[in-house]
Amino acid sequence: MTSLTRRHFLKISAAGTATVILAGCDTDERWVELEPYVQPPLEQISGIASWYATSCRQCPAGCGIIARVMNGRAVKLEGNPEHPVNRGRLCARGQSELQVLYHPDRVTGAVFQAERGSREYEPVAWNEAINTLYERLNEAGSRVAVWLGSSTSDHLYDLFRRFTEAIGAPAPVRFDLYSAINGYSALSSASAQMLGRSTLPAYDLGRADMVFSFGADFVGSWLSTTGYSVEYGRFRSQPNNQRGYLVHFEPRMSPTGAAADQWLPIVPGSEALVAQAIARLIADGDTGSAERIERAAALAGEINLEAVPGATGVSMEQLERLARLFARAERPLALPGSPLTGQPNAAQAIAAVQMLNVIVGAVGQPGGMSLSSALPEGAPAAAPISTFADVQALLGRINGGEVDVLLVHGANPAYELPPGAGFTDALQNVGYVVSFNPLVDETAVWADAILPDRTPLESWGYNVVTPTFQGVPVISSQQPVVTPLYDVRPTGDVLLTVARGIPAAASALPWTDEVAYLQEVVAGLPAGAQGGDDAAVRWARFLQHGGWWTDAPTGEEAGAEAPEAAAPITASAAEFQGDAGEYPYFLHLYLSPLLGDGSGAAVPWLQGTPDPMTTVSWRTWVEINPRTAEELGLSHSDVVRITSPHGEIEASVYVYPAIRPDTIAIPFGQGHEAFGRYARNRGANPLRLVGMDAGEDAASFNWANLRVKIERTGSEKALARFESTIEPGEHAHLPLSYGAVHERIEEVEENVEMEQE
Amino acid sequence: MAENNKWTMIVDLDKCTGCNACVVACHAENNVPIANEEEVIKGRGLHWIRIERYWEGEYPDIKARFLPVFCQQCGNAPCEPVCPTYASYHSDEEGLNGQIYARCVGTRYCGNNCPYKVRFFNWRAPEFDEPLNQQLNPDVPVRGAGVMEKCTFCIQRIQRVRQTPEGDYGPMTRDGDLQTACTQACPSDALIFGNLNDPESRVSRMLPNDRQARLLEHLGTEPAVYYLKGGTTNVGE
Amino acid sequence: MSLLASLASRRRILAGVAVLALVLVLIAVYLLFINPDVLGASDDQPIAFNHQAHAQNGIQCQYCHTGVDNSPVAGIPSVYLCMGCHEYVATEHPEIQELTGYWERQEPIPWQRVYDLPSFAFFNHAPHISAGVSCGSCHGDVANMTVAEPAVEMTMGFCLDCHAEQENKDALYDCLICHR
Repeated sequence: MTSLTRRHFLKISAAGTATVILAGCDTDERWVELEPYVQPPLEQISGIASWYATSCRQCPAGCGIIARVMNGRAVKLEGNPEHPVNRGRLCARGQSELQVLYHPDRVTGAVFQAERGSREYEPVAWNEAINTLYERLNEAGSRVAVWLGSSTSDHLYDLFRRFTEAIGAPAPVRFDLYSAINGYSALSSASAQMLGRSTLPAYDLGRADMVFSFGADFVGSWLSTTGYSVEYGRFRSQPNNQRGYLVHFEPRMSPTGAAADQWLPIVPGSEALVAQAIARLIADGDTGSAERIERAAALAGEINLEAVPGATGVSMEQLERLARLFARAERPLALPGSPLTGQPNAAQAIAAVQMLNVIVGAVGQPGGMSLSSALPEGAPAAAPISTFADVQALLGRINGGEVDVLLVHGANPAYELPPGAGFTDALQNVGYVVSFNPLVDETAVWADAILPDRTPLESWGYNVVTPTFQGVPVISSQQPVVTPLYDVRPTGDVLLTVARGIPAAASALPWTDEVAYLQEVVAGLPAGAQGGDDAAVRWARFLQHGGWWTDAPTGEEAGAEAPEAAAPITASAAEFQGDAGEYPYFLHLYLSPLLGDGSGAAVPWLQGTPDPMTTVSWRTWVEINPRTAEELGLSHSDVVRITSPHGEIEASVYVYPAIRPDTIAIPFGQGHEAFGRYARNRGANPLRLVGMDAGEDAASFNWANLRVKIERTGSEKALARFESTIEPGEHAHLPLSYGAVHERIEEVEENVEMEQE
Repeated sequence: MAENNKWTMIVDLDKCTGCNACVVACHAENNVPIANEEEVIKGRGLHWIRIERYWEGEYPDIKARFLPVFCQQCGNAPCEPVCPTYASYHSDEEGLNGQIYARCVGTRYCGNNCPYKVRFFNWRAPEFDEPLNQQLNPDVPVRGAGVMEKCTFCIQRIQRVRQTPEGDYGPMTRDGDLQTACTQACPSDALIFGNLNDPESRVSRMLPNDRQARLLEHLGTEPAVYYLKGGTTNVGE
Repeated sequence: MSLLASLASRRRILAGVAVLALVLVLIAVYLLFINPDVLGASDDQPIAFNHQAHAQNGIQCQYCHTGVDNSPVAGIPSVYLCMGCHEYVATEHPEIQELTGYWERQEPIPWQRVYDLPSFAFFNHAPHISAGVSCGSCHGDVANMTVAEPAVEMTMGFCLDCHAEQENKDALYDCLICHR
């Protein structure tokens, strides 16, 4: 054949009609080179997909997934229909786990970095890497620290905890931005105080008929988004044509605010005041059952109702209406959202909202609130999320020179802590830093060695699910769905290998590999919905069905009882950081529904998918109310500098009509300095605006009580918006703009409304 | 000829939260490339499902509405008669608008004539940085530069069910046999897919519905996508 | 230059461009549709697999192309399947020793496609087998070939000629059954 192939020819004739006419005929394009098997898996038939159940690790929720595998390639992830959390559904982030597996910038083997921060990695044989780790750990004795993320598989937490316990080091810290912003530890400790067990509360949203969400963006980024979105679907179409009513209190409209029947843009930090005012109004009113009024009278606490409208931005008339709605509803439910947990009075604020559930008798009831189901005897427990106090204690140990070896898995503290933590500086005091992350993230940049773990779709594990749904306890199983792409070692196996040589740890970690450990755990599980008489069958079904759970709720006894004695609500508006004169605007931070806390920023599917509310992709933006923007002379694409008492960032303006004029909002997710080609040097990390202050219980750092100022920089950077950028009424010489489609849709909507009337 | 199957989608706007699970599911299933930032700014973003977010009212009495818009698989499609190469054609067998990429020469007439703006042009050859290409679905082609593409109602999934190993081609396809990638992913069950010719299917049982509307119905396009308007509450007041 | 003259010269340029475009189109059409290269190459197989020898020994097509009656693709046998016999059979043959080499190195054999359908056309083997279409109808008399050679030009016309004769012709004429 001549060197002029068809494709070359097309490239040469790049101009003119020929290209256009022939463009579609890309006949011999093969995107994936197929290799015949040397020895095929038994069940494999070429051209027919295999399906493997495993669990999603893109957030801690623990949804069950089924991977479609074609000729050894994982090509699609779908929800596991049997799984009690996501019930066959799967969110955008979960589906993107495929691109984590096939990420082009994965670390393909063990590497050493001679000079921290140089980003010059030297490949090293695994034996040498493991040996070096062993020597370092052996020398370090108990001067070891382990830092895990909330999405680190629970079996790894359990193995690391056994290890640290054996060598006399403090338990692993399990803390990342996702768990911090969602307030995992704050919510858990509120559960402990109120209902006597430290775990995440569970809400039976699908059967509630009146939901008051205090900033809980449960269809966007709160706790277990897919599970709660399934519940939301049920909430909207309940038996007998019942349709639940949702009220959402939040200074900036989130996807949940958009889904709500009523969105109330309250003053930031005033959620608890609103909750208490509603409780007081129920007590003082005559709506609802006698029990509810009686309990409200006992629990509402003292509040100056006259000051509430001014402090919260909700009129008295509106408050009275809300109190009536809540008191009268059959199955009302109140949700304490993330912003509450980032305030200095987090415990108070959460308690104020939970108390509404106690007042209406929703605790332990269908459509009400309970605790995540406890697992029966013999099963592993959910790995706890550390408090910020634990993190500060660890930073103290590091700065005090008490840590010789730091092991980091599934967390990225160099990116996920406020700059005030001085994490990367503190690392100078640590002799040996090891990252187990499959991509070079900001923390791995400062590590001496990267011993990359397999990505979740290549890994074994189990995950104890919290929050649970409908009282069913769940352990999600995790198994490899494809042959690992590279010579990367499971961190569990690395740990077990290393531990064998360390006298103190050897007896605590006797397993040959992590699968042996998992099989032992599964063999010890009580009978579940999957059945299986002997250990081998039970193990097979654990993998086949995607985990272990029970047929019926079992956990309802635990924590389902309303507390016998509860203290009345003592609520106050959150105190803000920054002087109102110097910093005139409230700052509302939120987790991106797509990128989450930033751990989703590495993959193109999530970067390139438009944000639900703004349709922006690929960058960070600052949401400003149109009135405020006009006052400041700002419009779309203007780059502004946002300054808080702790730091500053720059980002483009997005004029957002559903936010308070005194508040600006910025999503987390971008601003990476590493983390692969798609994430690096893109947008800004708003954590730079956050300080290290923590409330009394120090469950989390205070990120929801910041004031900021806005300055224009004079430069412009257009945002990648998928929506029409043509202003309504503007005559563009386009055949039909999205704007025109909008108008027509509205027209149709109006017609429908008229017809319905 | 009567259509064997009448594939129909219902979008319950009362349940759609705009979460984009359907969008990513569609990218994964249909090998839809991701446009980079510069391309999106140029208006060359490419998603077979576009979730329109539009505002109603003004602060503080403002509402955001989500409207997932994808090929409406019109019964009387404006894209079909304008295609000079018959790349855009009507499948009587499935009741779908077919787009035959091999015939498409990229005139973009179909896109211009589509009132829903759901057809996308490949301004350049797609790129999948290796090994991201390993994820590509072998049941679906990767469209080259210069080709118009759009939602197919996951025709590959329909064919997977209809072309059984026994060679049964023609029996009516029923609920449970298949779902599109987007309906399968949708967490809040806002997307419902099925065969309107099957009286037992969920879509048949849900239609007609007093909340139903079709987009730009007055143009006579006979879309196969029904939108259910947000319901009113029966709780409280 | 007067307006008329400039229009005239522009028209001449346009005409030139049009002719050039037409020539390019013709060349492209030739390359795409008439060029014999549309059929796959077969002379560069890594091992000169002899179909005839296998068929004459009574081995059915399905023995190696296992997916053919239940999958869209017939499938290329794994090295493991070959070695099932050739661990013992004809071990001295140079081509078999080459095969054994792949097995010992645990390497896949880089077989070359004989029929390279364009990526926008999706053929499904299983229903054709169920409908009683013999392998030879599309693949020729492979049993009498040594190294498989393309016997049929697999154009859309070739497919449709057969589909047109079937009972459910209307269904089988729908573009969407092969194009997605």
